[in-house]
Amino acid sequence: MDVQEQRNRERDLIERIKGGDADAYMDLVGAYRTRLFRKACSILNDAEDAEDALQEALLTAYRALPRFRGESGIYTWLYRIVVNKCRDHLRSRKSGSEESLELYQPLLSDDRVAVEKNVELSDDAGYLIEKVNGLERKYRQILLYRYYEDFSYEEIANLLQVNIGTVKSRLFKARELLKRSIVRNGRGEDYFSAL
Amino acid sequence: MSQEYNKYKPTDYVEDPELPLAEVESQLGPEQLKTARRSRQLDADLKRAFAELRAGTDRPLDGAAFDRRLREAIREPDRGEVVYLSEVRRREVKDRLREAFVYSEFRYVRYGVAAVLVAALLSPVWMRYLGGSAGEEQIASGELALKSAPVMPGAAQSEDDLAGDVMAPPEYSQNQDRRLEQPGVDAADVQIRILEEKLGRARTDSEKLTLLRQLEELYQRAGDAAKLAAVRESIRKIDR
Repeated sequence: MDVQEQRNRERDLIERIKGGDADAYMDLVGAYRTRLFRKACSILNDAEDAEDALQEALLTAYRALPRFRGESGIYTWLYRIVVNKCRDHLRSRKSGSEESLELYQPLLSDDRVAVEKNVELSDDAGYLIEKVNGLERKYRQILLYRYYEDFSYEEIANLLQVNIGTVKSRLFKARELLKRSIVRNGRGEDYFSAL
Repeated sequence: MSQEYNKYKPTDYVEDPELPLAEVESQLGPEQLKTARRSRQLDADLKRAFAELRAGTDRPLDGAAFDRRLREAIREPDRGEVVYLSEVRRREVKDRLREAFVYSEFRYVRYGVAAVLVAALLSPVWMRYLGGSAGEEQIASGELALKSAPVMPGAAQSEDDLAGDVMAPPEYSQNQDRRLEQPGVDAADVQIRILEEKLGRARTDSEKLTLLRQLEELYQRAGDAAKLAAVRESIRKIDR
């Protein structure tokens, strides 16, 4: 399904939801549930809390859908609601326990990948992610949107409130900085020796 | 050269790894080509690395159960934050209780205290239940006596009158209830008193006649000859 087809399908589902069809809402969010849950887990670092936050966010979104004007894509709209709901949960943890805040502090910066010790990654993947973590925040963030969260250029543009051209050139710049980091402070030219 | 190419400048092909490079290779300088190729390699490597990370960190979500809960939540009327807040409060109370009773060093003492408190709370309810069932029997027998009292044929209002609720003012009903509650008072005596009071307030002859006939029946059953004679005299006077 191409982007236009997907847009049309979503528009159709949204119209049905506004007409009171709750099943259409399940169809609409079903396509994004896994990605949204991943995002909630990455912020809250607890599957149960993430599930609660996602549930609340999707309920909030359902109630707010009549006010959705379609200026941004539905996914980025849902994504923002989920992120906000997760932040509410973090705030309630903060008021509940200082210790838990400390525990989640590294994730609060939001765009640095905290790889858990029990996650096994290949050497290449681990190396590359470590290099991404070493980049300036602006570039790290856009690489994570693109490669970890799997956002399209358009979705990233929407989230960052910039145009698609800016997204492409910032991504290009991020890859260039990554490349430089690999060549100068990492594996050197060998990394690209096949080219 | 394809139509696709016309939409983009050569630099777009350098920057965007999603665009097919093969078609424009001849248009790019060696340095541009090298940059474009390395960018594409990094793009592919990053996709692989993060896919690996996702596979390692993704937590399982029971989609069917999640959807079922969401569907139920959607059906609920919108109560804003109330539902969420009450849920949080409920959890907090539960956690505190668990903390106090399950994990505490003095949990057995607390179990004992809780048991005593529950017993103290429940005992009045239990006593009331025990006392209440006996009281119910008394009332039931009283009602039975009232209902079994003889009613003159054709006296359409008599049942309502005996129940004391339709015609009588509220304070009258209350008095009647109090009388019924007094121990040792015969239901027939009470009925007689009620009818006598009603007779005192009766205005029309037909009303008086109905009450007198009911009283006649009751006096006869009670063996009160003097009152029976007086009632019959009154009936005769009205009939005339």
